[in-house]
Amino acid sequence: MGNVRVLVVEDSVTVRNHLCEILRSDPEIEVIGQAGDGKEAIELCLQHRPDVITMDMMLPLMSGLSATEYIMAHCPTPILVVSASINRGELFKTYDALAAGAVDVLEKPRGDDSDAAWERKFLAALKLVSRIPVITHLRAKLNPPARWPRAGASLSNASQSRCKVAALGASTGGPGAIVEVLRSLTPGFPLPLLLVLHINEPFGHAFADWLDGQTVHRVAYAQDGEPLESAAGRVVMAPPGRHLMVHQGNLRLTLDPERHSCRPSVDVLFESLAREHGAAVAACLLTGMGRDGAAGLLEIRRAGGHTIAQDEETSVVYGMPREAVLLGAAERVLPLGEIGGVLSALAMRGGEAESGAAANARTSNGGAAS
Amino acid sequence: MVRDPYKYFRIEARELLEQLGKGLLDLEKGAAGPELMPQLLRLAHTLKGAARVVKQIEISECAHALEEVLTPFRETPAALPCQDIDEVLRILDVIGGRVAALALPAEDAPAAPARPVVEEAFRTVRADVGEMDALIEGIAETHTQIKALKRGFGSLERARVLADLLAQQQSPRHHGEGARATLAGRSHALAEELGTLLAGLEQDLVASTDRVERELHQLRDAAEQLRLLPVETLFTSLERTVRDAARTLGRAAVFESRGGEVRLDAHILAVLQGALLQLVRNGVAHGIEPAAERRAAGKPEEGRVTLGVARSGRHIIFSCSDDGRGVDLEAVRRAAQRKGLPPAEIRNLGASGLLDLLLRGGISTSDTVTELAGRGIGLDLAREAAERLGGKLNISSQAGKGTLITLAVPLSVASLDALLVEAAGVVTAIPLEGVRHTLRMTAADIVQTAQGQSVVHQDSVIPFAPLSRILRQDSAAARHDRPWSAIVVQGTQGAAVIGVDRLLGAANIVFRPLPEFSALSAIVAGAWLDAEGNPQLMLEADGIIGEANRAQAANADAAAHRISILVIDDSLTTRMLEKSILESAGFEVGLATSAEEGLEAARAGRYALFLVDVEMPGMDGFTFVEQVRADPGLRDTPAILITSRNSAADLQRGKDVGAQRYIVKSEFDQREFLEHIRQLVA
Repeated sequence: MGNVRVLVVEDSVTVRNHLCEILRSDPEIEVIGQAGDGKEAIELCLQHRPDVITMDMMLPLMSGLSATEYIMAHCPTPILVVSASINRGELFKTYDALAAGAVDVLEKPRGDDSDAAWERKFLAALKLVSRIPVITHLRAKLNPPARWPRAGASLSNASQSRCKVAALGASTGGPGAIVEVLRSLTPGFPLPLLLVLHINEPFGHAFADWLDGQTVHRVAYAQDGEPLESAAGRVVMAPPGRHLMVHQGNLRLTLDPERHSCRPSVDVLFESLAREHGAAVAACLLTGMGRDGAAGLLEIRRAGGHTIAQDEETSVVYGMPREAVLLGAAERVLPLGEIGGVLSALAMRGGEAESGAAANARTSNGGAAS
Repeated sequence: MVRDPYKYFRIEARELLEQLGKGLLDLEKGAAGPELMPQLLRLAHTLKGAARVVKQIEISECAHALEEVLTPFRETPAALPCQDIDEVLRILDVIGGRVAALALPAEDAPAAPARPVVEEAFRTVRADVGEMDALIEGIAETHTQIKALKRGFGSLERARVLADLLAQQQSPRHHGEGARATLAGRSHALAEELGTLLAGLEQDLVASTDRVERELHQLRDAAEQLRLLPVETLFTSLERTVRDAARTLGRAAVFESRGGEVRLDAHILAVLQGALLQLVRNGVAHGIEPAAERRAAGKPEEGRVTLGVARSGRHIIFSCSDDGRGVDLEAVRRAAQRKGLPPAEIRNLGASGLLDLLLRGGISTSDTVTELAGRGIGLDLAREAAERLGGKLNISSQAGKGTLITLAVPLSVASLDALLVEAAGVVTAIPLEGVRHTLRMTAADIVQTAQGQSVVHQDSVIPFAPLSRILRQDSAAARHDRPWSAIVVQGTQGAAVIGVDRLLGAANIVFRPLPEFSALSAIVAGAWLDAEGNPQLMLEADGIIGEANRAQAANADAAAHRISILVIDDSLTTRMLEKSILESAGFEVGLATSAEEGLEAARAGRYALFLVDVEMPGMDGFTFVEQVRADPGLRDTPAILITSRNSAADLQRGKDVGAQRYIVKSEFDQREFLEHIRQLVA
């Protein structure tokens, strides 16, 4: 059977050798190259066409982000970011890299007792990432985002209920997909938009701030006990390590047990929405590994809400959406570029009655970011 | 063999610390570009990650602390306060200490004392990938050439077969009746074929071997380059030392450096580091004045300590200078007194003598012992390093202007191009960089000047000495009447012409210095192995020149009791001609323009021989000799008559008046002439 051919990009010779040693301990993995800076990473990638790249973020000559962007545009290769950069500025670059097409991010070993577990996690993540087919990332940019359909235009056979809340769930490949959805969401989107994204710790804590800067839509982490209405026109996100749910009209953050090894879990959010708002929910399950969110989406559909699953073509990992489709949870299966438009249309139809809700939206800079 | 878990980390951590230290000092100097701070943060970050991987949590925490201090100033590096720079440098030192402690192999870690960072730092050479590639390509190329050589094996086999055939045909049992003629014809054809084959083979083998040799030669050069380290490896720690010393003493001083790209043996760098640290520290402690004093003296407030590195011949010259107050000679005197040197001796010492005293050690000019200087150990260390490396330490100083200390150390292992020469049966090598010219010359080209033997080369008079004399291989009366092969040797202090028996050609040789105990050490740079594996001497240009000057001086001494000859001739041309011939042969010459004047001179001086023209106005040569023979004081002094008269009667007359030789101008032969003279004065 074919080995997984790995290119290791890391400027520290100590860390590089350590990573290579771990990789070589696995008979299914072959280290085909090592690069100490971004430029060399690109050269070796073009030359050897590895199956997967482990990419450090802080590199001399050319950063890990620039190298990732270049590689994803010119010779798309699954990239696992391995970084110890957890200060705000560097985290932003990590998110940029994920949005640019890097598949996932993993922390570097900490040098403590967690290292043995880390090695297993690293090998597993690398093999998983290596199997994910990635596409030239320019394609997403070449496809113009769908225009926002006029309210009701293409939704004639949708349920008649008015939407009060929208929700997104995503995992692997999520950062790029979420940005894409928000970009194609109409400015002044009137509903609260609740968001759950799986992202490896400790990389989560600045994601909301980063996402806030990507589009005209305001993004923030949810506050426990905050009324749902106060989130109207904003994106509210589950903070790392907490489940986000809606209970009695308020947002709640909980430390309840993990679902599908995830906290936050999409299922927890979606199920609470199904219970609380039933038909007034518009929910979408985006790209991601595993099955978190599929059951919850089904609950929403059963309660009469609108449900969307990202299609296979545009999903970095067609895992969670596929589960949803298999369960029959998805009312619509849409390419990434259309999801924002449909959500907007659903929201407009529901929001006409409460037009004041858009007051919080950042509409000053006008049109869509793209 | 214990696996070293910190192998890569130690190397990387040192490099990172080095770059961080340097960057920080640049930052402090205000020499930082906008890219420096992000770079420093990246380096600290890399160090943190690397430390974690090898489970050095304390180091990673220190690195993290670095990041914490620096991060707020990412965009405004100039705003980084002084005390923060101190703090970061302190953290770097802590990390450096911890990394040094890692150098211990795990099993004897508790027992052994921490090895000094210095040694370790020079154990690893970072090779440029391009250089390595060139090396590998070169090796591949030699392989190709060896394949070409191996193709010769086939031809050799064919040659052997042909030779066998020939041998068979020559054997007696083939020599049957009537077969001889055809056999001879066949043998001839075979022999011709064999000859052609061998000729071609020879050509191929020679060409291939040459190529392999050339290739190997280049390879060795490249490989030797690889093991050398640039001197700038030392500069950051030197700069840091200057900074810290200035801080401690409340002075303002900057460190400047030149020649960091000069590469040399890691072993030398390791030995020198401590010495150089002391030199620059001394520069600050003893040299640089307090700012107010500098201002008053019209100097910039900020003092300068400069280290220059340059290659000169087979030496690396480190020159450490400062623009401070210069060495206080009176303080040296006082210190010498305290050391108990006899006051009379101290009083007699001039400036250079006092400075030498400083070099000799145990004396410090600083009146108070401080942490930094004043223990008199600074120069001791430098001197010790110089001695260990077979180098020289020199000091010069100018009051109010500064001090310059130079440390010249030889390259420890070096290969260089040298000229191989033979003299008195000894083969020696002279570095080609010291050879300016090679000449053919005869004994007549050697002129006797006031200083001794010299040769006029390109309009300048250069001292001459036979190499055999320099090597003390000179048999007492070895005279050189055949032509010399001569070499114009150029050194740092002038030039000399060296006579040798034969020039053997140029070669690239690898030489090693010899310990400093042989009597020849001034001129011997080292030893090398010839093709047969025999050790041979490698000479040094400066040493040769020094020795040539000494040999020449010895010659000039001999001239003090040299033989004097009185030349009496009315013709200026003849006088000058004879004078030059005689002088170049080592004689002293007196001149007279007439026989009367000659007689006077003869009586006044002590001459060993008279050289007399026959035809002169007034008293002629015959009469002069008659007069001399009649004078009791002069009668034993031999005389040679020189004339254009070639008749038997004249010759007889010369004999009659008592001349020992009669030389006819038309038959004049310089060698014969000198031969006559030597016989007469011996």
